[in-house]
Amino acid sequence: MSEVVKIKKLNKVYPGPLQAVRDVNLQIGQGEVHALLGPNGAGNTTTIKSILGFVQYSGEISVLNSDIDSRRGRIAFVPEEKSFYEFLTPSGAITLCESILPSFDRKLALDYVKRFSLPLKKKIRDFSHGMKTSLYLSLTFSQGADLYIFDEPTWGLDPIRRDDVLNIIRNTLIEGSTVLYTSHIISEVERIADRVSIMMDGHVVFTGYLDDIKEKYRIFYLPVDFSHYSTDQTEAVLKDREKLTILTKDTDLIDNLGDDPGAEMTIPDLELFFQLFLRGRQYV
Amino acid sequence: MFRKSFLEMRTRWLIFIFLFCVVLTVFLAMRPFAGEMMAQFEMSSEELEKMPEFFRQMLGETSQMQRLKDDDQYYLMSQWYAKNFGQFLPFFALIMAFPVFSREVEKKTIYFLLARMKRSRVFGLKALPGLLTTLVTVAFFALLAPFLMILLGYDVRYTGEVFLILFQQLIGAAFFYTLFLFFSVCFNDQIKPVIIGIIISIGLPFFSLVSGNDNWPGLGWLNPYPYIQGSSLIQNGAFDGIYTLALALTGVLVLALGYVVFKKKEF
Repeated sequence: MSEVVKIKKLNKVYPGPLQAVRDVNLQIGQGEVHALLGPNGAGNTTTIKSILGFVQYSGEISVLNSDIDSRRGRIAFVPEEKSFYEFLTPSGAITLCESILPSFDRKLALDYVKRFSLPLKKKIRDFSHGMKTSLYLSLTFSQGADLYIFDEPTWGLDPIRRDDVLNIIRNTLIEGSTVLYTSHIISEVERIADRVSIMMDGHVVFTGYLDDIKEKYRIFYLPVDFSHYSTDQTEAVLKDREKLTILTKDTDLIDNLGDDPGAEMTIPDLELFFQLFLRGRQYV
Repeated sequence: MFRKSFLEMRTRWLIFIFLFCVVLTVFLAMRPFAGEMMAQFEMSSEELEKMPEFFRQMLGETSQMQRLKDDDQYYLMSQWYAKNFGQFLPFFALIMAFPVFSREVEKKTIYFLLARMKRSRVFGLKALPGLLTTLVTVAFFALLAPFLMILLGYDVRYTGEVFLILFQQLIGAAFFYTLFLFFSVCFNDQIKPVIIGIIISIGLPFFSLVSGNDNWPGLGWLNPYPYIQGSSLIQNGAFDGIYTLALALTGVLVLALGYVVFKKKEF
């Protein structure tokens, strides 16, 4: 699988100084939906801004096998703040996009506007937050891009519209394209992502396929005084007053604990995996 | 994209169009009364001698007042180009330039453009429509005033001086536009470029005042208002080529600097 985005040793320091991203290496393969997860301040947005060339950075980033500037016509981006020109109507917005984006599909945009029940002739300034987001997404979905980058695309949408948007990304958009997706709603990511990278304190601490998480990782709940494991066998360990929680992919440990009557085993879903990874890594 | 840029500036442009129309109407309406008003200021040289220096400077020379009364062409040059229209040009350029980039950044709409287009293209598509609109508007109102005076039967012609003063006003407006555009690039909100622009617009004539001081005789050169208002053209028919070149080059340099800042800026 060829790589659409290649990041090598990405570092970004903001004035302060604040190191937002540290030695990030990341590859996003052709045709995959790659989710970038992390708590606030983990470096997700800075990584996206670096890919898009919004900030100065050190390291190497290639997009569609070239530098970003020569590929901009093939990239679509939905930022966290879905602000579009409020003096325009959706009709005017479509005309604007058609005039500046070479592969923009006017008919498709009109279809999406209709699908999201947006009035064509009403000024965007009179739209609700959800309507503005829907319009931004309609324009982006119609761009015919090779790489789509979404930063919290469903924020502010009602559950039905959110469902609709996720279906479009997963079933329609992805055909022939690649998606980089960030969200704090893990259930969304679990629904649409093929591969996940987790960022913490500016580092990428995990990258893997969603299927691999369920296939290879196990969570064990153990008595709080349990100590028959070594830290290099675990990915995350979380202690509280009542129990010890271990996340592991070590086959020996999984076999041993699986036979232990005092241990309770669970196959992790992404939400649990993500939480344990973030909260439990400090004990590893 | 040009259409979008024009729609963006439409409201503030229309406000200035309205303002220019009002000023032009007042300018034309005052012409018949200019003679009477000037006659009230006419006084003998003895009376003028008794007045404080400040008042004498304010009234100007009696010969100029007499000329204003009798000469329609002089009324056009001194009251339209030098005063009513000319003095507004830096403020017009400010209003056209200050939100060009700062509003996009403040409203976060800039991400839409930056993600999809090279910065050089974004800069061109954002900066040029405002500059063109500014220049076309200045040219239109500069040429409209003599046209309307001719229609109203005044003895006015499109002389070489009219076109030279128009040229100076275009150079001056372009200079101010690039200067205020630079501040629009530098700041992430709309307030700072406006405040700096107002301070510059109001503060520049200060250089002319200071240049009266023997210690700082050259500072008057830093005030482009006399150039934009065509003072030397009106007073002695002299076109200031060196100042034209200096202002045009400075404008190009400031525009280039704005482009470099925009290319390097983090969003």
